[in-house]
Amino acid sequence: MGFMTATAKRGLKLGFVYVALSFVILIPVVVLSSQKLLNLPTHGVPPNLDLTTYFAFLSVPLVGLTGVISATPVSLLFVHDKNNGTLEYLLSMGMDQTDIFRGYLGASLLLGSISLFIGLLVEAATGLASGTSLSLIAAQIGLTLALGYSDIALVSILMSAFSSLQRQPVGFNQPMGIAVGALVLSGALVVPALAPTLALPVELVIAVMISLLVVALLFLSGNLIRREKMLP
Amino acid sequence: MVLGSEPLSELTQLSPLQILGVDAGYGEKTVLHDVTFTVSEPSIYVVLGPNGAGKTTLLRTIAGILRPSKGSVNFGGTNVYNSKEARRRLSYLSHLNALPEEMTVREALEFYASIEGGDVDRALETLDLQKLEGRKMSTLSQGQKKRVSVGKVFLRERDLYLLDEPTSNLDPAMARDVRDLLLRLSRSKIVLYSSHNLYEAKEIGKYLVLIKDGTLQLFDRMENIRPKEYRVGIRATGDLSSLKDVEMSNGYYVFHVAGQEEVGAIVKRLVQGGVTVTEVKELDNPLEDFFTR
Repeated sequence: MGFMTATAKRGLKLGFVYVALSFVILIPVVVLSSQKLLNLPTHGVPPNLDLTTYFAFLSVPLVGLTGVISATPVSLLFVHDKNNGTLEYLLSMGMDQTDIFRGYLGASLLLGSISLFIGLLVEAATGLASGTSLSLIAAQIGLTLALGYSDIALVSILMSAFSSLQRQPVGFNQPMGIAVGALVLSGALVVPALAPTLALPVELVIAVMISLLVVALLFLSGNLIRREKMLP
Repeated sequence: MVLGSEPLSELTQLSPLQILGVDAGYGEKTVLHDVTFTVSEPSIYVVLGPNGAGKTTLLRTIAGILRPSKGSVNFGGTNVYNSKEARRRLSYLSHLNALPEEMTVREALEFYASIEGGDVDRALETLDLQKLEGRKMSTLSQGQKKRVSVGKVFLRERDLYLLDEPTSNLDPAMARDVRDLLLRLSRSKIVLYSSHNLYEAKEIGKYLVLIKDGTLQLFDRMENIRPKEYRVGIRATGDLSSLKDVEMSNGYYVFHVAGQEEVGAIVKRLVQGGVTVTEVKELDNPLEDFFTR
């Protein structure tokens, strides 16, 4: 078991309640995805708006949010480990700041996967039960994976970076990472309402842009953040 | 109890550790100024200095955690900051325990072993931690945590040990055992050891690295460190107060001498005069001078 897996395991052990909490967010996902089954009233809905497609894409950022929530304990661990000298010890063992960032990022993605995959199963199951087309379900799943993983990665790396850059050692600015991640997801939440037909390409572009940003931040982390920023 | 009683494997040749004209610090603040020294002999090098002198900064820089803003630290000819391989050959014990609080003792050691390899049972045995291995870190006393923290350094062998106050928080018996362990270790490895305990430093250190205001004040063999004034206390049967230049203090007859060499002559003279000497004690630690100057 490597550093990444060990860290994900620690995150799950310490933050099980976060994972459990993320499942609560799946309730609106179930409602949105099974809109046909529930036979929700449709009066007042513009005739050109396909509610099935609209709700399917609306559930994408919500499932992404469950991933972000369940991955949060890993980012909290980062600050804990910084303050108790664990990061300093990891550096002395031969790791550098990029290795450490990658380790915590990988652990976040692993832990976020739990909620993300359960969310995908819920999306697919309710969609199938509602008679949603397979192509729409496939697009929904693909988009959820892209947006979910890229947002988890963005939040994880921003939380680590904000806690490394700040002067206060207590992780005061760390939650700003979650705020940025939530902002991105809320953008994805608005797109299906503003331009339902463009929801798929626009959300895909958002996911790709976030992924590129994450990769760039990861590559630059060695130069942007010095090792001394990992000291308690 | 004898800690780590199995012999540590001998290195055929030790790589030199070179600290060359190093300036280092945190951000804009430079703590170390032009520090230069080289060590290659397996031994204990005690790093001494007042609070804020730069001892921890020195150890962090040697460990490759801090990048020197000037100069370099090389181990075996390789720049430590730039080489992961060089850093894997050293071990750094910070003054913080660096242990995940939510884990048991065994889990914490396994966590580090999963990253860098090593033998958890060996580390448990070396620091006599078997009885604590199932206990959560958060339930241990500070001294017990320190033992676990020292234990992680012994997961596997290294060539260079950088230890920042390894005996702080330990009870006297455990501190003695750790000192014995380090003494055995220093037969084949380089051990840099920072401490505030001057008696401990004098007892186990073969070399002194004195840091003050971020500069290297002295690097010398411990035996060459002479006090400004050498006082020896003697307990004896009979009244010695009539002797010239002798004073009484805390039950000892105190003699002011030039150095250790004179002590034997004084004792001999007393014995020849029919006095039974029951105790001879060095009253001053020459290292104290560095903190009182």
